[in-house]
Amino acid sequence: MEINVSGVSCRIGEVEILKDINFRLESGSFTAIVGPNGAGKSTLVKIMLGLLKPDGTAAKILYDGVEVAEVNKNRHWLGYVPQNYAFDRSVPITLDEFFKITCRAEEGDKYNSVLESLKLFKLKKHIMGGLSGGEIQRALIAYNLFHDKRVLFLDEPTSAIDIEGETLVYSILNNLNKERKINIIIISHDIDAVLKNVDTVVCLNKTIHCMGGACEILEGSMIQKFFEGHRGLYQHGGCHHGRC
Amino acid sequence: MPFALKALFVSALISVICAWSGIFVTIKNMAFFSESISHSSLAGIAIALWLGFDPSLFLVFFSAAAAALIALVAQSSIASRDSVIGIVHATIMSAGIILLGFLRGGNTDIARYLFGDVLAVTSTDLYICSALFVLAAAYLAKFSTTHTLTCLTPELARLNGINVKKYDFMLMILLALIISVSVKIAGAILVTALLVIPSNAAKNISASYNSFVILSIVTGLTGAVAGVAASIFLDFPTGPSIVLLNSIAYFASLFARNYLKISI
Repeated sequence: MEINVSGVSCRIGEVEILKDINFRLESGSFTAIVGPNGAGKSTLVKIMLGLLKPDGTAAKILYDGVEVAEVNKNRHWLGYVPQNYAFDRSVPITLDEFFKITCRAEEGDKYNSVLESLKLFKLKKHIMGGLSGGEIQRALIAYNLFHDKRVLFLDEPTSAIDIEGETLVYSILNNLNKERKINIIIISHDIDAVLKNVDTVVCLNKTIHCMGGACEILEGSMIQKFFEGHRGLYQHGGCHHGRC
Repeated sequence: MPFALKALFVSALISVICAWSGIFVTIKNMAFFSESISHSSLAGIAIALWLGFDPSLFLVFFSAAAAALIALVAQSSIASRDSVIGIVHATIMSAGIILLGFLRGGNTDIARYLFGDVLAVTSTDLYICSALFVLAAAYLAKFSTTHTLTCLTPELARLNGINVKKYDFMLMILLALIISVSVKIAGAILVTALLVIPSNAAKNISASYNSFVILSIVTGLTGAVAGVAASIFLDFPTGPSIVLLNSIAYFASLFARNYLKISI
């Protein structure tokens, strides 16, 4: 699904969060939005999801030419996995019940195959409050798959999980991107993971600083300037991406 | 219908619907909202008595209006929902206390609503209560799944095209209606207990959402039946008896969870 963002600005009180954001993402892309804290990444994602309204009337968010408000009203293509899924962990609800209540998912091949692919099948009778951060992330990805989302946004998808969990999440995201052609957009501070997995990078710091292929952007000099020489804080190794 | 049977019937209906809807009060942390509506109902009773209306029926409309007012102010204010509830609650209560001053010595109905008296339920109360039960049970049967989603994951619900604000508003109105009728049994001071205690007792020992709902209703119903029996046979006040039995269930479930590791 082609995504077009144009003329997006956002100000909260006197603070400018985003200024005149314009970019286009190709259908089937796997994109990372990177930038320092306070760059407006989460705000941009919430605006793209239609959860926040940008300033003015000129801003447009289009999914295959359809306005985001229309998408949310009738088509529900957009999925979201928040960074910190704020739910009451004391509520006694099993994973199975969560999917059946919130997604109206029914037992069957599709149900089992989604749970299997996300390594959740054995956990389906477990109370959600007892699941780890990584398991909750995977459960929320499953939630979006049951709803047949065509664009999936993930805010810091691996911030609360270990390296093994991170590898699993990225392998799942890569499968979804390649096999189901789901557009994936992640917010990440983990440049290593971004280099290994995504094909497009958007560098944001209130405005679009640079945008392009992952290696082209993250291995180039622009990124040094973007992170003001602190790139090492975000990067742990070199580029291992097969696409470079 | 004999008064004891009437009391038992009304208590059972109200306890079941309170315990069922109390699931959402617990998930969404709406205990303060419930408390405010129940306390505000005293002002509604004062207005009804002052105007010469039947308090039972008037209270239904008054409580729904108070809930709508809270929702309206909360949506147009930058204050937190708790602050808005506190402000609206204080405003209504202050007006109610001033009105009560005008009624001083003229009517004892207010004490009945303050502490509850299910043994004094009238036929009108019985009809209102039955109608509310049918209405609320039908609503919960149809929309409890949507409310579970909006209470647990409002952002995800919004992305699936669900109007979360509308459902939050509907839940507030439903709770206000339930509270307005329940005040007659438990009294304005204790009515929140019928919403909060059974669901929290159930939560302590539930291993699934189904158990949570069923155990909450069973706890509420058992408390109602035993409370009315204690009231009739031991001459205890009904509302406090029901609430106290629910509290015993809560502490027993807490013990069962922490020390016996019981999970149903």
